[in-house]
Amino acid sequence: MCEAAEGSTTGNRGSSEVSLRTMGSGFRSREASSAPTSGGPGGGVVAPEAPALSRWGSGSPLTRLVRQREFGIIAVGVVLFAVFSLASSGTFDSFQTWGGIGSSAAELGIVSVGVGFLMISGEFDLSVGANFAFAALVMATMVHDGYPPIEGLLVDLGIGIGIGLLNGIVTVFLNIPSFIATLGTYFLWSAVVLIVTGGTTITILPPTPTLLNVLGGFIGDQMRSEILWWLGIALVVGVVLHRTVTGNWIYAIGGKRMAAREAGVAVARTRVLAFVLCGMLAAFAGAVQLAHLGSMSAGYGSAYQLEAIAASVVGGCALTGGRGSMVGIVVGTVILQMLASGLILSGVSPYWYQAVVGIIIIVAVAMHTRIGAVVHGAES
Amino acid sequence: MSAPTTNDEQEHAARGPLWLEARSITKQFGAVIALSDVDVSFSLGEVVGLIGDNGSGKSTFVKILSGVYQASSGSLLVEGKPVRFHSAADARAMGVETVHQDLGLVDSMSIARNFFLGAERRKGPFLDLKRMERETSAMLREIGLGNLRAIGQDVSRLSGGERQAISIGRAVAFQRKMLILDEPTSALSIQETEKVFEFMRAARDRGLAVLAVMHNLTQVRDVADRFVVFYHGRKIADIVNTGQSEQDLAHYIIEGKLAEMGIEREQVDMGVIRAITTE
Amino acid sequence: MRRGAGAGNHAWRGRGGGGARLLGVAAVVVALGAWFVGVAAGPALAASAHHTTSKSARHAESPRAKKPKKAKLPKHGKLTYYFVSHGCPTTTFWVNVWNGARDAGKQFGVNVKILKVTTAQCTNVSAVVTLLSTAIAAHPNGIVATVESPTAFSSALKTATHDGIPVVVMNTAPTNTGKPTATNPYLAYIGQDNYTAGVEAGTEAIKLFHLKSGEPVVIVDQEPTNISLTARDKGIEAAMGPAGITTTVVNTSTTVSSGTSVLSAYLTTHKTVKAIMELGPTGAQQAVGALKADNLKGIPIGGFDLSSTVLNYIKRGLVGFTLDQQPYLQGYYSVEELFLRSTVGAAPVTIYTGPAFLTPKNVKKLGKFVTLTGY
Repeated sequence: MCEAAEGSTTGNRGSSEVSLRTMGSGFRSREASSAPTSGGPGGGVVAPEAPALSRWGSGSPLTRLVRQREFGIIAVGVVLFAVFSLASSGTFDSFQTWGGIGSSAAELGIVSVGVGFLMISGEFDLSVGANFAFAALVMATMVHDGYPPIEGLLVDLGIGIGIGLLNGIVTVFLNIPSFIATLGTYFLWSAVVLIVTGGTTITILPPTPTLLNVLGGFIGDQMRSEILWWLGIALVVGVVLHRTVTGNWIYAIGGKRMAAREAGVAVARTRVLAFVLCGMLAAFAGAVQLAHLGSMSAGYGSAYQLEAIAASVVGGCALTGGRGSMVGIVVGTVILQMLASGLILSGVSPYWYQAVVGIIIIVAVAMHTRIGAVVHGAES
Repeated sequence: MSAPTTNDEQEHAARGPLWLEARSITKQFGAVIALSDVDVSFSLGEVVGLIGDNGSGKSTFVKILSGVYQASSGSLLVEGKPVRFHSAADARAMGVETVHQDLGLVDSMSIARNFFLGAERRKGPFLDLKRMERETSAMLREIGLGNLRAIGQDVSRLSGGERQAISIGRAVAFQRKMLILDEPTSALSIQETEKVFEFMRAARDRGLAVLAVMHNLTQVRDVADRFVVFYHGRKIADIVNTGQSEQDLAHYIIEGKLAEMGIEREQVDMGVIRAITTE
Repeated sequence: MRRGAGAGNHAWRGRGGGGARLLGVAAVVVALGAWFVGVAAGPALAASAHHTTSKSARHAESPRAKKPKKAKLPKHGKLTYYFVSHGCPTTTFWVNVWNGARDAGKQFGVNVKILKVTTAQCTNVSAVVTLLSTAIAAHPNGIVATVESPTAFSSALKTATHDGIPVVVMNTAPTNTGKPTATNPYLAYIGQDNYTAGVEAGTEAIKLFHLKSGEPVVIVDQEPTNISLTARDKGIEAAMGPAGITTTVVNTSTTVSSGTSVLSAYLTTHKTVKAIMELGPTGAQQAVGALKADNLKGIPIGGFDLSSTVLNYIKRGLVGFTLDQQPYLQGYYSVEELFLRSTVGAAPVTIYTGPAFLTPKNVKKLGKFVTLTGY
């Protein structure tokens, strides 16, 4: 939603005429192909038709579309969709399939929104799977024992925020790399959840409380409300990421932390905030899955940390931070879920699933780095 | 030839009032004396070129001015009043903007977002991207960078000179009083260097005190209104640029070096001078 | 019932078969009994029913019987069944289940697509639900599923029923007995009643190990999140509690070595323990290992499921008995029931493939048949 929207605006192109007192083009920008070259080696010559400073520079709308960082991965998604639709003899592009894909994508997707946000700030959270199960199990126990579901949800979110805060404090103030810090808290919370619950599965038998239906019940025949929660959260966090100061700082911190600090960005506070958001969303995803499945156990969140990182990477988030977009994170999640179902429905041996995911990750990353280089002509 | 003079009496045509004064600055790191009793003053509307070999103390001096280090003794005065810079943020708050080599910009962000980083323009809770882009391109044009292809492109796609332009433009736009540039041209081609000088002059003409740390004598002649030379932690020359030849400049520096070594010029034959000049 | 081989009774009970059930199923049921009890005719039938196309067939010493006569069945196109389970891809137990399903597929000429969670998702029920939803979206001729939660699979199972896709549940059912409900509709359950198995194991242990009131027994739970193991544990407690025997659950680990040290530490500090009940092969390895580490002798072990290691323990007398639920047959029967349903409309019936007792006494006689099914 967000980067794409930016791309479609033309910014101040119309209003900015280049003043003639501009001191020529002693050097030119690296997009040599389209920049005027009349400056010549001597410099100081005014380019007669100096282009206005448009948002994305010259080029047809198509060229500009292709320049979007997400274009490649969206194209991959569309191609996969077409291939699966043809190969599955009509079972893939059905509402039923997409209801299923949507549900599982929603739960992973809510986790991925937080993980991707954090990744753009240059950090990891490997504890989301444990956080997910722990927070949701506490909520499940509370609902099961007759507490109002809303209290359960608040406690769930509180646990997520607390875990995120701890991750942030350990990483930022103890200066431990987040990969290590959250690996530590992953083990910690995985153990705590077993210690507290003894490993039992908590089941909330019907009648399902209203709140749980709101979080994960059916709306219509095939679709569950969790899809709306996911897209809504992605929209809100996407706006924060792309359209607010906080988001700007997240990119800056992930891109070059020193530069951000020099520019007066509240680096420590913003980094901790990203961890808190990630923790809170992991816990919320747990609540949503509890609502969907009606049960929760210590093992339910397993594998989410790696899948969420995979979804973010496929969607264009750089492992080193500073790059990525909400559209990309959402599309990355959809592609991963689409692969899981599409391969099965196309009759490919499911053994291939992980292999294909691996290939897609590598292709996506190669594409994100190469497309930028080729399209923007940075090789010159 | 007269002895090198301090600049205090000699007015540069466009020079504005005195802004920052460094008085008797000494900096010690343990037993090592990095700066010893250095006095330099900076006026608005003037480009000062700070010259010196490696280890001459010029980066230590710059770090003291930008608040990264604190002086062991001596004082800083802004508009005649003593100030203390405890941090880089303090210095920036007072109006001193320092552009470190390739450190100030986030490669993965657009020009406008970089330009306004830490001082984003807002419309309600949201970024006012259009306004930021408009103001960025206006400011860049004003300091002489008008031929960027797109304001929405990432900084990573810009040349070294264009990056300097953005940093310099930022200092101008946010009405800093003093701009410190650390080796702004060291990685640039001749053409780009000339452009960066344009930006520096543009900043000066808008009333900033500009301090450029450089080691290339030829280049510094093109841009500086005044030269300050450091040698072994001391200021050995402080000369207004009156269009001296490179040779003249070298002599000032040599004389300063010789004086620092306690040698009278008359005692030295030209062989030694050549040796020192080419140092 | 179910004393072991000497008793001459087979240990499985099937709910009455529907009138339409074919000879094929009858033959399999008979073969099953024969297979386990070791009646003279058993090996031939068992081999014909299950192993003519399996890899393990080359180990069969029994004469190879003729293949089932497919010509007798009504014509059908290539049938496709999806086999969805929560089994970890690398667990021996599940490898046997899938071998059974695959062999049945080959034998009946149907396409069996086995869907598995990834190793990282092994405890992730949501992943299994997603697989099941995808399988339903493919509209196959039938689905075999495991149901690990009374609520999580409900809407998927309802959708399948609504879409007219026959579903057979195997190994793990939302109720102890495997009986389908309105919340979780499906046609039949192939597996074991883990609670009942627990009760039987507890009763057997009291008798076999001469346990008396007031004596402490340790239950080794290597995977506390597994509801099947929890049901077994509850069954054991239900059998031992009334006899006055005190039971303590020690949660170990799915990793043999670390679980062994946990149990070893417990036994060192609790010297009065009179018997160890383990809930699966991993627990059995941990129990044997802990006794060896502590140099303890004379504490008997009993438990559940079968692996080549457990078989070896039983042969050497290290484990007193194990309750086998025959994973190979669970896979095989599930596909077979769907096949019969697709071809002749036979209503699938619930089949309990266990518990069957294997002890040092009958292991000699049964060992090679056990090996046949690929432990």
